[in-house]
Amino acid sequence: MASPVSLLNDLIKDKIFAVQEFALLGWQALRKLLARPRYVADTLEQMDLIGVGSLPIVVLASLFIGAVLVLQIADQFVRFGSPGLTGDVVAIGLVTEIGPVIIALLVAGRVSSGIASELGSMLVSEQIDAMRALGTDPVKKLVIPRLVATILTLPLLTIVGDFVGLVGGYLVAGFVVRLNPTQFWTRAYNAIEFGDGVQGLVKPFVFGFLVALVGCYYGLTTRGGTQGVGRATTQAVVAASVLILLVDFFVTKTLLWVNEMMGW
Amino acid sequence: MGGEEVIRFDQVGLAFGAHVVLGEISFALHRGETLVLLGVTGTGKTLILKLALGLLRPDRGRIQVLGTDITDLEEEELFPLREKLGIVFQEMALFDSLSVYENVAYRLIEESVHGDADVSEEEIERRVRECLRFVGLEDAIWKLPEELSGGMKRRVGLARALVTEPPLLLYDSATAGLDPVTAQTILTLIIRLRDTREVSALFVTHRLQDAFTLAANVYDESSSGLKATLSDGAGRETDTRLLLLREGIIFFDGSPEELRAARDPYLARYFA
Repeated sequence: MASPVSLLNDLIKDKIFAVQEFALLGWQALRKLLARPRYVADTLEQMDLIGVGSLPIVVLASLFIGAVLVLQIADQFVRFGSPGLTGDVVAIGLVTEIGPVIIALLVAGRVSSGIASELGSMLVSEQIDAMRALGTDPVKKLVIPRLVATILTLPLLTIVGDFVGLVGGYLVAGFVVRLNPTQFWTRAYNAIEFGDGVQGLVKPFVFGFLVALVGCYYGLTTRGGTQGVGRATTQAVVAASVLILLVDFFVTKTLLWVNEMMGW
Repeated sequence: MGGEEVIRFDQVGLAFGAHVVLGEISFALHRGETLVLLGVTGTGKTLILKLALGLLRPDRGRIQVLGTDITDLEEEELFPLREKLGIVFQEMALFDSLSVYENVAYRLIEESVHGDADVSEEEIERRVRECLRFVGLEDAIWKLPEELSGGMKRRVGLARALVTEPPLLLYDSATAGLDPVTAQTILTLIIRLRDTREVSALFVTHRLQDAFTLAANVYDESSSGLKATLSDGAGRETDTRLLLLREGIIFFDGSPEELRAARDPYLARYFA
């Protein structure tokens, strides 16, 4: 029977080893990003699966996120006699924070899990070994296309989601809360400054990298057959979601500092 | 046995944590020879194949494949060498989202689209059809792996391993889990390959009868079947050697006749 101290020791070692492996996979992917062979067709296929495939849930979720934000914020501002500020707050909140984070979380639920289960199934059925034995580098063939596809499509999904969220807010402002919809839209548009746009677009790149890499990491480290695939899938979603929220704080802090330095 | 060595294991050891799987393995496979790796389940037979392919790295010892010391090579450096090897996996390991054609053509497509080889689509299809014809599955060319039986999948795996005509083939329990008739079909294909193309082979199995079939039969072109070496007037050699693993070490290394004549209690029990 192992002592609690040795169990804790093993647990800490395992976690440190996992972080090391995760960082190593990320480093390998970045190092081989431009190296030949480049799997352009696989990348385009993944962009279709990840980007176009995620579009319906992003549009639907964003529409209602924008709508509910207006409901809540307008309610507060009406109390203080400044309902016109609703557009400003909704726009800034949506573009800089809520849009990138919520959309990344939605995509993580769909994409990290999908990648983890696909690669995990390939691993347990020896398809990854077969690929290596047939002279193909799984990092180039499987990881990089998914990484590039997610990094490129998540910012696009975020732009679409932000716009649809504002449309949802506009509709609720006009038809439900009875604010002046033109005023809402004008104020929302004018409230967004260059620095807000930078924040809103840099974050999805970082989150896209995390979402895809976490999925690939858990997929390629799957152990324990089909049950292990299920476990890897769940772990990938949880880890990607937690990482998005943790990293968001540090990215926001850094970008606010950059905004201040650059005077944006 | 003379001839050039295509695989050499020199005091190779491998452990997973505290569990030593391979103690100190040393053997050589020569060009044109078939080496049958025998042993009960869990003795590390598959690991030896994975070590030979560079899919795993040994904890100690050296491994040479086709004249190259692969022990310390990086993954990228192993890819050109792996192109000269063919492997048939125990679980087939066919790409389940690709058709039989795409599975067999995989390496040719990779070399043609992403590598330096200039192979036309017509040439790829011709070679794929030729390999599928060899294993008797040309009709299944456009099917998906899920539409095939276990024996058919194994034959597709064999066709995939053959498509680049490698000088060295690795078989991981190629007949495991198959009915006797299908297992015999696979063995006939393997013997045909050995006798007509003279490839070297490392054949992992736990089935003693597979080892004796490989050692005692040659391919007969006229009947498209097997013929016992004893009845072969030309006196052809099958160049088959047996290697028995026990608890991570080589317990026996010799010919089928030597195994039959052995008086060791463990060998007698295994033989029984």
